[in-house]
Amino acid sequence: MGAAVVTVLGDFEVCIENYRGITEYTENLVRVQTKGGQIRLCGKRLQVEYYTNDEMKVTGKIDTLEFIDGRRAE
Amino acid sequence: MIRSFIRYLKGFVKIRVEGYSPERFLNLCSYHGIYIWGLSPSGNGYEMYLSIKDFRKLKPLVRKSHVRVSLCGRQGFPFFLARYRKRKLLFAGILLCAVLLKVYSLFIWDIHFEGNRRWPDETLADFLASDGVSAGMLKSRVDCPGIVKDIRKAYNDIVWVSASIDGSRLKIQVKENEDTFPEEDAAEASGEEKPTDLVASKDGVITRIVTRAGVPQVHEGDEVKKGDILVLGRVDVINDSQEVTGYQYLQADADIFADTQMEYSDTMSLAYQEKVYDGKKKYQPFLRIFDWTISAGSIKNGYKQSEISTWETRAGMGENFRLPFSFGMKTAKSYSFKEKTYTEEEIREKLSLNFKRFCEDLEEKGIQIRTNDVKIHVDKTSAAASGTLWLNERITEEADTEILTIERKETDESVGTDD
Repeated sequence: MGAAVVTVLGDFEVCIENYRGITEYTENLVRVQTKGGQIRLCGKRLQVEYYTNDEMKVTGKIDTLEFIDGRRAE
Repeated sequence: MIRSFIRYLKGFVKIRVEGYSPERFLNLCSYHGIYIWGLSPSGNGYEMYLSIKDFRKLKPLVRKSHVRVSLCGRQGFPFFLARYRKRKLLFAGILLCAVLLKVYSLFIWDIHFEGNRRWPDETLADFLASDGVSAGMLKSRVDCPGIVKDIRKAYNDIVWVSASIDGSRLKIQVKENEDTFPEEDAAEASGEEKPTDLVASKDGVITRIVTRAGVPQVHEGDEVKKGDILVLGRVDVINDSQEVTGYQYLQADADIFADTQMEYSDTMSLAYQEKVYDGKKKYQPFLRIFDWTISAGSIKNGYKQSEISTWETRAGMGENFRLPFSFGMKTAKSYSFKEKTYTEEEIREKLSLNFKRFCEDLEEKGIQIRTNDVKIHVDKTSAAASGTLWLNERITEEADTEILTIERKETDESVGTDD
């Protein structure tokens, strides 16, 4: 399988499991690399609550959540 | 909560990561199992928290990802210790606190009694003290089963005792025998039984009579005067020919109720004096150690009339542990009298309150009030409440029985045989 598990709670919390790593992280944008591609989180006051090898949690005001075919978008 | 406490105990640092690709550094961290929290972007880099142990593992990762790591803050218990390592007294204080806590918990500081009604706490505490059990003794020397045995042995009317240690408090629960009456015990204790009659303590009409011992002399409905014998404590011993040959004496015992009358009168003057405090006060605080008293100031005063009040508090802990120190305050308050008169309404209220209290007192004594015609009259200078109360009450009173001796006719008989 290897697909990422994304759990969204309201518009203020996103939990991502089964990812490869963070590629970009600012207050307004978080990009996470997964096996199938990239996940792009746009919002305001984004913060990584915790960050371990298999799970991360992002909180803040989330506007959009996009799935991008990583290699083409780069 | 627990997690943050453990973090604090182990110590953690705040670092700032800058450079070409800090994201790569983050991914390396997670790959190597380094736990990061509180990650936030700041400027070109990131700030984050990690534990001291993980911080030591960071060096190869830093070299690999070509980032600069700077330390922003150190928090937690290990840093706290390091910062205050020169303050020897602080650590001595913490140690002393722990030691004292341990030492104090080795003693009994309070004795608590529960369930005792006839025997006051002080009596039981004194008894335990004579037995060597008191506040301030070592906990390990308290012998709970022994205390239980001693109390059961010393107090016959305590039917159940439990002693247990609850922290630094000795808890003693007792159950008293509620069936025994102290009056009876006292009478039995006095030993010798004097024969007694029951006589009327008041005039009245008997409404109910229940005799337990003795010979009743009256019936229900009889009118009796004060001093009349109601129950005789002397029982006649009769032979076959119905002659009295002797007497048996005993203590008469009966419940006798009678309808009685009682006059009530209460007079009050309309004029009265009221205390007016003018606010002048003098204080004398004092400290007492054993029989020594140290005080500051004096309450000697030139007031015309003054009230002196004293309060005193004894130092101690719990209910039964008292230290021989006490402190308190004497206060002298100046006042003067002011002449006043009651209005008719006020005096009526006062008199009826007095009468109400009088009735309550009677009822507390078990006297039943059937009816009353008490009325209040108010004059110019005084007011009076008067009237008659019709009551139903117990009218027995003990009195010594008259001892009679029978004159035997032996002399006569002997004369007869001589003939």
